[in-house]
Amino acid sequence: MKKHIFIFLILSFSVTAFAQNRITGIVADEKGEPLVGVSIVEKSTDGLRTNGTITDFDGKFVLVTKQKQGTLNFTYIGYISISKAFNGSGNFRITMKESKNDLEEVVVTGYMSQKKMSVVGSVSTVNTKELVQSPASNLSNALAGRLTGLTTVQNSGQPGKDDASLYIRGRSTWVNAKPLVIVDGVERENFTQVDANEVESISILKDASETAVYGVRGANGVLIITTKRGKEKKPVVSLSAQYGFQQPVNLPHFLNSYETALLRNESYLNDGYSADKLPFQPNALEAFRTHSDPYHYPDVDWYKVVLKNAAPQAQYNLNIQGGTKTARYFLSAGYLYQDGLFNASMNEDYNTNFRFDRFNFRSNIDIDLSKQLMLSVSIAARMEDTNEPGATGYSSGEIQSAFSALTRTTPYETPVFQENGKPGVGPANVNPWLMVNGYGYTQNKKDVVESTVSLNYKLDKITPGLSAKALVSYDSYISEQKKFTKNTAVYRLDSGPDEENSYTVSGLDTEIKYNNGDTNSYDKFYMEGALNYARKFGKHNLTGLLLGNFEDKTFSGQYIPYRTMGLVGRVLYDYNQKYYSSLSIGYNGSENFAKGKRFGFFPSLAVGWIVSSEDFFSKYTDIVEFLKLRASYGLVGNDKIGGSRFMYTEEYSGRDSWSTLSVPAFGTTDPINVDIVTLSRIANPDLTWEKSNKFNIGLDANFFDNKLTTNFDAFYEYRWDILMDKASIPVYLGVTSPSANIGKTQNVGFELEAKYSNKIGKNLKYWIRGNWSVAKNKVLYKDEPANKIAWQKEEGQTIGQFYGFQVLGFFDITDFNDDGTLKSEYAKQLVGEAPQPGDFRYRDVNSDGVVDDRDKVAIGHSDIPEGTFGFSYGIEYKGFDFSMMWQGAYNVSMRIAGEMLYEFCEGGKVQDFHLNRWAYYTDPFTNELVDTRATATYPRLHSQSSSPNWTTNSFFLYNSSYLKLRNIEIGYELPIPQLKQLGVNRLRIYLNSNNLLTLSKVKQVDPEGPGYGSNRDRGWSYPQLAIYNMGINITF
Amino acid sequence: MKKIIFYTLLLSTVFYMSCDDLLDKRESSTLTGKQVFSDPTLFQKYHDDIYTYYHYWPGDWACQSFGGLGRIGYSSFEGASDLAEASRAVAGTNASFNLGNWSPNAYGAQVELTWPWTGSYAAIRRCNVVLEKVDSVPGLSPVKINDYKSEALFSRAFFYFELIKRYGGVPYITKSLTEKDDLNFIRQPFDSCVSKIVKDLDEAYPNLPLKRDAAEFGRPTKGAALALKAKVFLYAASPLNTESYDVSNGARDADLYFYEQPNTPAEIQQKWITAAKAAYEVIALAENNNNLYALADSAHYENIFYGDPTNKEILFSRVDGKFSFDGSKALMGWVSFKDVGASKGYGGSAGTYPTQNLIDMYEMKDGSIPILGYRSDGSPIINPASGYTDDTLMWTNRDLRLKKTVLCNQDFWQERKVQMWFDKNNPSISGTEMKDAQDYTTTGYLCKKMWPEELREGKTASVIMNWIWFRYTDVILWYAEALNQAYGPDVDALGNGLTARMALNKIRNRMNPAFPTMRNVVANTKEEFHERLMNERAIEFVYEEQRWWDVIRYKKGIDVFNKPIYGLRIYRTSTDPLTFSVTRKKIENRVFYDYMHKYPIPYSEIEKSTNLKQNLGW
Repeated sequence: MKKHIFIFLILSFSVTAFAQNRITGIVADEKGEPLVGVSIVEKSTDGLRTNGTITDFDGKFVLVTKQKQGTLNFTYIGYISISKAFNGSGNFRITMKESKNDLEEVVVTGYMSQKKMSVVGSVSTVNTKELVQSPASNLSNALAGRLTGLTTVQNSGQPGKDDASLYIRGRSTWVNAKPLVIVDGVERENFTQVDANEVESISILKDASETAVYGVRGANGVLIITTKRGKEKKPVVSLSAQYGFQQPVNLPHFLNSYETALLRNESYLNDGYSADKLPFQPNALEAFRTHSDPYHYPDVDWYKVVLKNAAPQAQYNLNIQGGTKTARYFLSAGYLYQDGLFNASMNEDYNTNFRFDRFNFRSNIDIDLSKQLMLSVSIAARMEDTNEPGATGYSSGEIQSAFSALTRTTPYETPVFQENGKPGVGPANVNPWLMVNGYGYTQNKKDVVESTVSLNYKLDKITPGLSAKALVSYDSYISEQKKFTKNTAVYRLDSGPDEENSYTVSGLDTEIKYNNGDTNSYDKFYMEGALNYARKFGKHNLTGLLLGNFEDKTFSGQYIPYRTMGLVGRVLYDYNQKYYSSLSIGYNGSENFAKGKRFGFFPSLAVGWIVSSEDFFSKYTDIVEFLKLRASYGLVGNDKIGGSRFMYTEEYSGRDSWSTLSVPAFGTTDPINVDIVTLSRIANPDLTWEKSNKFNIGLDANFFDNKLTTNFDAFYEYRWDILMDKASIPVYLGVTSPSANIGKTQNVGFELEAKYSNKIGKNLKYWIRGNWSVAKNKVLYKDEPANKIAWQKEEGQTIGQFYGFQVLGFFDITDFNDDGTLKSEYAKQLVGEAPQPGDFRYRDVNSDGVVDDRDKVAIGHSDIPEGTFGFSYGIEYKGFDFSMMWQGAYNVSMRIAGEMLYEFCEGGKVQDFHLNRWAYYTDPFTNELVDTRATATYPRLHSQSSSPNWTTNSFFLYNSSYLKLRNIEIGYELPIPQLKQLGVNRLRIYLNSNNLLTLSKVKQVDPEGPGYGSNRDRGWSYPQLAIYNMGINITF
Repeated sequence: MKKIIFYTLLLSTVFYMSCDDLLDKRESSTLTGKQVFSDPTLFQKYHDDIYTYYHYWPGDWACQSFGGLGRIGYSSFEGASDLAEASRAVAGTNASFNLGNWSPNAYGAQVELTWPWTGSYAAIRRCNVVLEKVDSVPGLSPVKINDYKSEALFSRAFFYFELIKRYGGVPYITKSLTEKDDLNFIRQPFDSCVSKIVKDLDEAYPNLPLKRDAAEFGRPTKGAALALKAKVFLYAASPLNTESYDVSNGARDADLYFYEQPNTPAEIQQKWITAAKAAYEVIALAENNNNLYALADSAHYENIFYGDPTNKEILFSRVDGKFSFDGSKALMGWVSFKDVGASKGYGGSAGTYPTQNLIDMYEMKDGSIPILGYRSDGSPIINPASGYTDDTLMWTNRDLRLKKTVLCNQDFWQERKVQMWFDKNNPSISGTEMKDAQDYTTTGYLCKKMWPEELREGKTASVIMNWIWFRYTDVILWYAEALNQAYGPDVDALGNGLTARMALNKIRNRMNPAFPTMRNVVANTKEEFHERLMNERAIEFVYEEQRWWDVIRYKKGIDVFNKPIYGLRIYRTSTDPLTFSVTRKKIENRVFYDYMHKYPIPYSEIEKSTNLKQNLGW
């Protein structure tokens, strides 16, 4: 993509040849390999009409110069430019050196590509080489730690549903902080299933100067994916195949039956039960210890039974890249599968396990219809098929039931199979193994087609440097769900150990049958027309863009399409490649706002100064090769404001299906619900989008012959008009209070990036890279009730700040009177049951003698990290390469509750850390004193959920900072000359791994968080995965 | 060619500037207020939305199931009182009310503490809008307009009563508000709210029908209006709202609280007289209209809440529709009947269990009192004269309502005997963990009152159910209570020919018409009479969410609710012959503080309004 744009730009200078001086030559790299597409330009005298060509497949070129004497400039991306004087005709042999300088790289920004040197906004880019190092099947998960300023949070490892949440520079709104995603110039809902092998580069646009062109949709930052395109060269066929295994990163460590029973007894003792009332009497404890009777006294490690140790995954990709002078192509086809972790072995005819299969195809073709007109056709298609156990509902519910059963079914609840070989259940009527084997499955199929056709027309005849572009895109997304149900009979053992076995059977064994299906689809039409202008006037460089676009998105079943339209204007100017400026304007709007309030105007300005190009700086250039200062300021919007559509209108409606449940009925014989109508939304005619003022300063510096390159950015963002319900309106109003654009936030931070690469001797190359991003947001204004308790106000806090009780420690025995009541010097605790020794002592924040809801304060941080960092390093030696990439996040909290944290939650189990509980009692069966008071790291155990400890508090809120070894890769390029004869240019084999190591205080789940939605803190979700992978790349 | 493309592009950009009607929403699936209030059919639908709020505060999954059985996190609000224990530990009353730690934000308690505030004001807004708009809706006859007005006035009164019985005096809003209005209201004194409620009811009364057509059953009638008025007066006369209210909790600023003026003894007596008169108005209405209302007899007692909704006992009810065991009926919400009404061994996971405390309150069949009180260890002091024995025979020879209300061990139910026992011979794996007794509950009892026997696992039978707001028994007992408080049990001061004692005895004897005086109340003083009357109310209305309010309005919360709850542990002692042993077992230590006699106004609302003062102690 980069190259073709570059070539296109060069070609756009019209060729007016009339002189007869003919120069030929060949351009090669240091190894002697010919370079294809090197641009050769005759240095012009008038600065207007330029003459040039590019090298062909064999690196050869022919140029008829206008003058007899002059200079040729050779430029090639990634290589140091060369000037060569000529005098008359001749044959040149040029050797170009690879540039260590990335300033010549082309960076894709909003609606255009620029040389990195000329970028004055804030952009980070990652290239395909790094992306394919990650064996993660989901592109969003391959981004972690690679892009400065990008925060990724992966909440689940479920095959096909493991998208990471992405935040560019953290978040500045509590509504929707998702960045805009652009794939090949068109907004696309999702990019996460794009095959990494198809990607040329991924850029994120961070500051106002880069995002203002997206106007009302740019405030959360923009993520731009550019796929590979053809090049004028002989076809290169790349084949890659990889195969690996996935393992869960973190799983809770539940205790076995014996240990669980001991603690269960302890919890009953703690709650005042006498020895004879304890649930496990000595004979039962002994049976658990000795495993003497696995049917009456089972001891099942459900995670072991239900989850496999490892599940395979594989990925294959074949792509061809090449082209002729007039047509260039990139074709790619891939297949990926990811098997589920469940032990779903009961059914041979069908699969109830999780599974993901993806077929992807991409064809990017560029054809020069004439010297002026280029046609580009890009088509991408994907089939994404997922499989999930169970068939009673949408997937989230299924996952929850599979995992909730795992998290709370005790080891002694039931054997997996009864003595008669049938699936067993206990009092809760649940068998976790059966949850993934016995109740059918659900298939989800998603078909995606994304197509774009564009025409580029050079209009140099009108005025040099002018070109026009028209683009039309049509995308279609169809998802289908099919449910297959089955029921399985379960057996509950009724008889005691000394009796003949008898069972209560519930449910029936049924055959698998198709239950029902559901199809959802939407299609999207997008068009844009643009005028581009790029011209050099002496030392003045001018680039201009004027673009109009329109988008129409229609969902099946929704007849009002989502529409946006807008205008984009952009002018880049530099003087002598020393002083840069960029003016960008977005003017756009959507159908979601009232007429007359639809369109917003978003301007931005950026300036840059390459200090190192100044004469006075030349004395420093030995050390500081390059130094650029940048600054930008502008206004951007966010129209993803949440709430329903058309909030500018009043709406009366019937109850939606969810609350239909409480619609009244009348009559005596067969009462039926009456229809009702209610005011469901008060009109807010002033509804508008969020606005954001962004200020950015930056510094790019390269040191030591460009061996060390650094970037630094600092930013300040002020976001206002954030939509929120008017929380200060009392409920006397009697209807949902209207929402209004009233919230304000700020977001401050910085980013630092450094790369160093060097050689030792001739063959040993090494490199090290690091990035560090900090984004700290603060709520400046929220419509909060006037009398809200000062320490519970969200103003002044981080978005998503946790609140809870402050734990001062455990109560000790001496803190209580003889009758068991708390001594009067302590505040009365109205939290769960009255506290006892070993329970949490909470802080009475307002000192009113009572600990209640008023004493909750801000604790910890929010669930999105404030700081993220990544660092990687690698060496290359002859054919070997080795690299490691670490990534981490800090200043982040995680709330875990329910089965993942509390003892015996929902009658459930206990984990290894519960062994460190506070205990002080005499075991009634052994008469031994149990005293863990001095070492306790968990409060007293309770038998009921009314425990005063079960709250969100400073003790239980985890610091979920982490450091992960995201990638480690070792590869070897086989130096086998015989392969050349087979047509193989390159053959590389490698081993790599994802998430090999995770260091965090959170042990029972992945520190990035378990799952989505309201039960996310209970660990009812598919675990994140570590992948061990091997692969081979062959290039023909 | 070039020029064509160039100008096309240029034009298209200009086109964007001018063409924002591409973004217009031309059609709409939604309604506007203009449409709703100019179309009689839509107006009817708007009006009927008021009924959405009758007790089932929309929005929560947990409060939409039948008869209040699952109203609070799969369990009944009765679990807050001493009569029942919720089975659901997390979200039921036992995680909030029973622990004495409830607050407006406590999980499980929100449904009862916060939502009535929000839901009542939502309903009141709808009433106000109907009253304001009904005159201008085209095509409505004057009769129809008056119908709408009377229904809306009744409902407004109803929801203000729901508010004041929980929170005391509240801001009284009688017009529809917009967000631009000044919403910083002050609380009106309780008595002022009462007189406004009564005014609405008096205005509604003339236009309300005596009886509703079958298809309109569930809408208010004259009788409903009179009953609501009587209940409002009864609560207004009750000590909580007449005597001084001094509670303490924490060290907070006195300015934050709302204070009511106590009444003088004379005023209090006058209030009781008003209440008695109001109750008698309902009785008179019934008697003057061909026994419009009558007490359910023995045969119909157990299915007042299901079966025939035209039962003469019912004055006003919410129609909940037909229910089957698996609860496919939309009105059940996410909760099935089996989740809240049926017990484990019968395919469900019942929500609320009757307590031994309730069982002990049932008198003997002849009206004698079996248990006179409790010793400090919780054991009962048995009245030997009653013939009661504290063993497996404890359920025999009791008030006939016991077995119509509660399922006890070995009762025959759904074609088998209820098994509430453990086997002592197999103690190793007994207990709640490994093997529950088949039909196990924490108390050893199941609720039969709200469980139609037809609703069985695997069966599709469906039953019409109603949640009754006012029934005739209640009216008679209000009369008895108010008259006794005003004049004592035997003074016919109002000249109705019906003393408090006569009224109470009507209820006490109706189950056994063969012996019309056998269970006549034994009480000499006003206080003794009142005590038996409240006991009668507890038994008669268990599971109907009356007990809490009856205790609260007499400020007896500490005496009654700050006590342990008992259940039974039953063991099978031999199989042939089948014998059992029973032991009383403490289920829970309940905690109640004095400030809990009035609900806290939701903190979130207190925070919003500087004029809205909190109830004392919260």
